[in-house]
Amino acid sequence: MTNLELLDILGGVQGKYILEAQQLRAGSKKPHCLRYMRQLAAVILLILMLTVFLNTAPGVAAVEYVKEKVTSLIETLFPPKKMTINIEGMEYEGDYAADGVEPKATAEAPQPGFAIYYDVDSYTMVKEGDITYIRPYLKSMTREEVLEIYGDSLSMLSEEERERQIASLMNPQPAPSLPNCEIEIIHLDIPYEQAASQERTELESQWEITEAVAGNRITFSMCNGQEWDSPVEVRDYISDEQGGCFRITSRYFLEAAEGHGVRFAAIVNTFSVIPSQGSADAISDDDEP
Amino acid sequence: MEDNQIINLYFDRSEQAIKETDTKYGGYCYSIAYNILTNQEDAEESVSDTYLSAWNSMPPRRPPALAAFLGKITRNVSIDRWRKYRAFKRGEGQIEIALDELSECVSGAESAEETAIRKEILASLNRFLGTLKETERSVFLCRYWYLDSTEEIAEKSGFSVSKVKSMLFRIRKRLYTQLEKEGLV
Repeated sequence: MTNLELLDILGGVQGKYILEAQQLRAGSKKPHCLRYMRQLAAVILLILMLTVFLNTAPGVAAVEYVKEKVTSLIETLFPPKKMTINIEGMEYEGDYAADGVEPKATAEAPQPGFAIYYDVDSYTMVKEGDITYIRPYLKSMTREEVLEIYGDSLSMLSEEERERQIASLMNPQPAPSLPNCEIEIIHLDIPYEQAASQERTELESQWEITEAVAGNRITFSMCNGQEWDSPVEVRDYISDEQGGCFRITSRYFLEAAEGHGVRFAAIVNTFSVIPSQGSADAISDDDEP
Repeated sequence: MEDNQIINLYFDRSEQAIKETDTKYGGYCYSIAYNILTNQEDAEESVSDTYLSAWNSMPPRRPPALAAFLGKITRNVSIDRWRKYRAFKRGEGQIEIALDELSECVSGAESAEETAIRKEILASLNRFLGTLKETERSVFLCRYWYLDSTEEIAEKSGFSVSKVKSMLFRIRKRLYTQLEKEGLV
């Protein structure tokens, strides 16, 4: 094969890849790393400001400003990374990005925050009031993408059925017959030992519990039944080092233990507390894999 | 105008189809053609040929993604034009003329074996692209599908030129390894 033939054959690659590259050409899609580079540049600029003004009255204000900015940039402090997890003996590498809740540095009620990495291609983070959820990500597609991927099989359907299938593929919904799978993260204003002890009493009536203690973390692994759809919950109580704790609940079902279960465990292991003092130096990353 | 509406115009055999295609995708097709031919007149002719080919293909074809469909035609037409131009320059016109004359003696079509090999290489290429990260894939295709220069890719992607070059080098190396492993080179 000559280089010209290869160039020629390349012309036939899948249309979705061609359109994807066109987005980059049109400047409508910058690589993710650029976003982080920009944020990193912003942090460096702020640090420079801090250095210059450190010993002046306006400098004190600048210090506070920089601290505030630094703590608001979870993505910069926890840059995206590749993680490999083992599912049923197979290694899967994924792109992981961090998201979470920023600490609140008010004098009256300082509230620590957190950052957690998750596989951005498979999961999404949703915040509902004080509760943060990580849920499976059902990717929406444009009509063009659906037709590009499923065009051949769709063309065999009647027009009405084709339109129905296209609509359903454009906006996929979770299967109603499958139990819920998610991670729930909530902050509690009591120490982790106390939270675990209080909740254990209630949980024992519904679940078979296996308890594990490691450092400042207590884990309850709980199951209820041996059917394929029997519920499974893993609760982690992690100290926030400020008198409170975070409770992380991973919910899935027995058959999903080697899928979502393994992925959830990998995600929870990346959990890091961000103290409300706001200093980047104080961030705990002991649990980072 | 939506792609579906433009395609319907082709199916209705309305000449408005060409105008709408040109309005929406003229610049896109021209940029592909110009990258290959680096000549305004030739690029414009390639774009016109693309519209003619689209007109002859629809119906019966109803492309799922009009942009990709037009882009592929433009690329093929332009590479073909470039190849002929290069052959003409090399042989001062005689190779091209001779080849044209000889084409009367052959079918001009690929053998079944050649077609099968091309299909296999294309399938391998698609598999390979599927293993790349989106950014890598886009950079690779900007260079070898759209024929953008590394400087243009660097400008659009925000990477430095040397980063684009090293990325392309690594991808080419991986592609060679895959094609070699599959016995295709």
